[in-house]
Amino acid sequence: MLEPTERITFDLDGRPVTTTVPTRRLLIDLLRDEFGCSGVRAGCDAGLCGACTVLVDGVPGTACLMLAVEADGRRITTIHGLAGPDGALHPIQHAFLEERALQCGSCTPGMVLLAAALLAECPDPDEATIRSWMSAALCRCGGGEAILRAVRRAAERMRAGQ
Amino acid sequence: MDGTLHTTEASGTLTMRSRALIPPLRLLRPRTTEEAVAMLREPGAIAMAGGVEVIAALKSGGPQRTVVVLRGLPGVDRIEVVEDAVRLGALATHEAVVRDALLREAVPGFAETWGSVANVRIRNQGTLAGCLIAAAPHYDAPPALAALDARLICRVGDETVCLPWHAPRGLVLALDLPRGTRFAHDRSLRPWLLVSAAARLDAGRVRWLRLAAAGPFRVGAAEDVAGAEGLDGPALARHAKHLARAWANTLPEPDHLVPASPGPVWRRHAAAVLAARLVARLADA
Amino acid sequence: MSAANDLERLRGSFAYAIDFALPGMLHAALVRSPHPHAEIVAIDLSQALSDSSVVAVATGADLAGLDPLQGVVVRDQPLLALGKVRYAGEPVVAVVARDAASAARAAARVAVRWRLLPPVPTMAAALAADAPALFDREAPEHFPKGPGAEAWREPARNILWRFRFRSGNPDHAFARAGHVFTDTYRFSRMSHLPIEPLCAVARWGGAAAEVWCNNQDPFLLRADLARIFALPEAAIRVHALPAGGGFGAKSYPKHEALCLLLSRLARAPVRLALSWDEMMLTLSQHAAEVTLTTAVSADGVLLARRGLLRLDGGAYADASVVVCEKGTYRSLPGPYRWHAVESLGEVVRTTTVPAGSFRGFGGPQACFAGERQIDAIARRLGFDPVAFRKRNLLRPGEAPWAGETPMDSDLEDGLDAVAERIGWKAPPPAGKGRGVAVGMKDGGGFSRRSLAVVKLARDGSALVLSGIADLGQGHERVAATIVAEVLGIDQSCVRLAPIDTDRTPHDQGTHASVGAAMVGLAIRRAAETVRERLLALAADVVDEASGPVMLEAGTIRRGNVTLSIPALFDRAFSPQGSELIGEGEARNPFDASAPLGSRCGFWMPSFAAAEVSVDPETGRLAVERLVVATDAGHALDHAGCRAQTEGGAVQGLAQALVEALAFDEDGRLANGTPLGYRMPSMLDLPPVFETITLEHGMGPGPHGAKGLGEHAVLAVAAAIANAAADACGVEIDALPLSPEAILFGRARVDEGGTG
Repeated sequence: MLEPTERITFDLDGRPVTTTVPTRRLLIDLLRDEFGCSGVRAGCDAGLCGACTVLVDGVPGTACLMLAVEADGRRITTIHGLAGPDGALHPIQHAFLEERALQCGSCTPGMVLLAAALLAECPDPDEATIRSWMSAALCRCGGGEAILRAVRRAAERMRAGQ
Repeated sequence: MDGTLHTTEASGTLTMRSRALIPPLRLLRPRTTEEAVAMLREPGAIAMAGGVEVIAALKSGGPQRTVVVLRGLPGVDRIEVVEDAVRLGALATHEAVVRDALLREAVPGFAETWGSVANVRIRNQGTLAGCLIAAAPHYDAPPALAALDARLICRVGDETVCLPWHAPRGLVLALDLPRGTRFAHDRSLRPWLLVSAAARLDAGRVRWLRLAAAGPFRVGAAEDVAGAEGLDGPALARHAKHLARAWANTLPEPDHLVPASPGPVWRRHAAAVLAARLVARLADA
Repeated sequence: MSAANDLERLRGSFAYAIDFALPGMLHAALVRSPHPHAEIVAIDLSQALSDSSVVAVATGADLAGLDPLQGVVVRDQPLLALGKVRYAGEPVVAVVARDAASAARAAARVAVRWRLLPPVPTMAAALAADAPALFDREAPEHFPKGPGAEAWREPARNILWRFRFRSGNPDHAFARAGHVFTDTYRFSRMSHLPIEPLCAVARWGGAAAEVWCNNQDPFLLRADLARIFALPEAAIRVHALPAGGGFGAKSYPKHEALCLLLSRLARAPVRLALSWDEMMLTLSQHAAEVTLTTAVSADGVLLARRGLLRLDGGAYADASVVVCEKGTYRSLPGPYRWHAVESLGEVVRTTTVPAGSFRGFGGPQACFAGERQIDAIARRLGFDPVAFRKRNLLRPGEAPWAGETPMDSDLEDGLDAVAERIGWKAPPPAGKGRGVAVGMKDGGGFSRRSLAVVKLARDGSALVLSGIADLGQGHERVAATIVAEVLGIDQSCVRLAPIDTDRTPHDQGTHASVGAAMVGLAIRRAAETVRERLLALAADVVDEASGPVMLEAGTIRRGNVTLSIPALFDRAFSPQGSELIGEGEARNPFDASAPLGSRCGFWMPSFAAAEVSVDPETGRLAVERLVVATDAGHALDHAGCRAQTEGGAVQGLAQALVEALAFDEDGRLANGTPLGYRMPSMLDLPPVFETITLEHGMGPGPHGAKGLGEHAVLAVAAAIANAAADACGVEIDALPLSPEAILFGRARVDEGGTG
């Protein structure tokens, strides 16, 4: 049986990449196996836990529910693309560190990306909006309360221009 | 151990779900709806809108599939007014629906409710049509669309037909929600119960009122609630409890297991309570 | 505080078990039984073997020559099903292929024929007179333990274990009771579901073996592998990789031995990684039925309790024996003073997913029942639930019974802290209810021994070798703090080394919240040993001055001579350098007067207060406010304590309201998928959620520290249930709380009178 493949080109964390993929391959496996994006984590494999969250043209997406070919022509942002070019942490990452909003770290990349997308769209979100957005990822170690604190702190900092 | 007169033999292994089991996929990309319909005639071909449902289903394995990728079909993601309906293109994502100002005005209550369904990732990828076709037991779409008596615009062969929401055929191109309908939804008792209510009022009087519920049972077509027609707002509010109770008594028995699931007495009671509140909310609007 | 691992976690570059690979590594997939109870008639591998990417296949037949059973105390679980299966989901065949996808597809093509046996889906079914037996009956075995304690293996059909503890004279106490109350409570069953599933890579080397895995018991695993494969322990090397959560799912040997067997068969390294769905089929928490008969004096003093903790152990023992004994012995009596106690625990076998270690180890089950009944008793007698508890709580220094560690927390203070925060004195607003609970468990394990090594390099930086698994609890911070303090160096210079059984000194496993207390103590002593050796070295080498040698802020001082650590090393060892190594030990010794062979290391109480609102028309419950307090003894890392408390509290909330495994009438898991099994998200967190880290300073660790990790989960479900009962005036006796029970439940019988 011949495995159908397609050639795709997309922007991955700010750099253009081109590759040929089997059509059945999912984005999560392409990013992890071919591009070494180990921060795109495989959790529930059902679109529920948010560990595989990536941004697709700036909007939160689910890498375990997308075909790799869906990335063609789009801008994919993983956790690896969030820190500055010199490796400086994003203000959200700083806030997570200060609020100790991570334990095992499995949910962290997804949570950080969700927060980044939220604050990009809505720099001053109310509590209900923060909870609603961040409910797109599960934190089994801490439950999420510390993550909410981190997002509030990051929002404050970013509004203040830090 | 006491001897058995009859032994039962069986075969099989536990089916496991995994993305490793996704079969080879032949992807077809139609440029027009006509092409899409033609491609879907292939035996076993499936249509993929956002992909949330299709990819989840493919993880159960199976033979090689032909997938008709609808993304990119021109005009199928539009949200527009068509006569007495708001037409949601089959490729309009949940999030697009939530944000649509036109829909907000034309079907008050629907877009606002829809913002709390699933989560922001799924809402940005999935579509109403997609989850309607998947029709998983705990989804909000079936009762919502039942209450609204939404129609599906489907392309079947060479014809474009208008079908009830629960009976899609061919290629679903759009979902029609009746304009000027008030909508309300209560999902606070998930996963045991979700209740939707929709009403059409003309000159301040009820033309029709419909209630629908999702639970551990299949959601069927919703009938107009008897006794609601002709009531004005205040009368509707007064009769809300009575109408809701009568409707709740028609709820079917469960057909699948939900853990720690309360029994039918509670379910009918709670459905009546939620429905009464929703009807009162519609009456006030 | 140093946060090297945290930076990597934030950047997404932190390596977990799934990120580990070896050249030539193959992939395994498991074939599982769809039937809860069946004999294997035939296995047809022909379809699977016809795939050219399949390298090896294993069935029960391949266990010949091994000691193939796993389990703690009772070993009854084969690596692959031997002749029959005892739960739907039990692994029967393992397929090894060149890539994960091929392995999964080949596994899906294995065909098995079965002869069905009657399922035993519930404890009631298992204990019925004509119940089918899951195992061929062996003669019961009796095990006397310390004073008042004894246990039986297989005392009756389908009862794996029975444990009994008695202190004092219950008959006497019951005879003079003013009131006797008997209540039965039902406790649900959750799945751990850490984000990261179990994953192991094994490499068979002929006379040696090497395993990389996210199991948090690497030394137990090494010993088990040695036994199973008849290899010397010294020939087996286990690398315990940092894990993405555990909560008990990654405790005790799991699939690692099977993975090693597959490597042997395939003559190549093999990875066996489970999915979430498979995790749900591997291990669960114990569901329980708890019956408490409590004698109270006429004026509200607790006299005696007879308790039965009946646990649904599922098909295989796993750690059920230990969960049973711990839950029964230490949690069933609760944090109270009794004249007499008789506690009975049983593990019942059912043809369902095996139950085993789950955060709290039998404590949550016992605490839910105990704290519900205490509340119910208080109401029935007309006492305020907080005042009633305070009257009967153990005081600091008071041992619950002879031979046990005295209470080392101020329980009244903890209860007051949460009661005050929830506003207990003022009546709750209309439609709302309030509840408190005090959870109780031991910490520090039995007969525990932890070893640690600290290695000081020439430049004054240090490596800590300790077997405490990295689950994100912040142990690298705690270790760094301790060593930095003792040696006067900067925390950023201290690193916790990866766990490698070849290099790391032995530890009995990351359990019982041993982290800060026991292991911290071992690390501290190791650092102190290094300090002594440093000072002795300086005394030897610095001979141009006399007098005592001091170490302050990383500088050696003797008389008017000061030397940096590097300078000292250079003098002592020449520029080629060396290192100073110190070892340390913390022990919880065997004690014949202790009922379970040793006293517990410390007590782990937790305190919770909840305010809930109940919709009087639907019975829907919402937690409006939750306050949880834990006693850390001394908080070495405040933020870490808070994180652990919050996480445990949310698990308790999940138990009360959200999560529950559902089994169908034959015992098959009915909601074994991520979408079917509801889990709490941020939307389920109470709008007001506070944690308090108390520091009563009475623990055995550095500065009176205790472990933290399992506290918070103990009391939260009970507090929420108590609040629900308060709000709706109904006897709540089962979890998860259901709106039906709240709406239509049995009305509470309150006696009026003074509170």
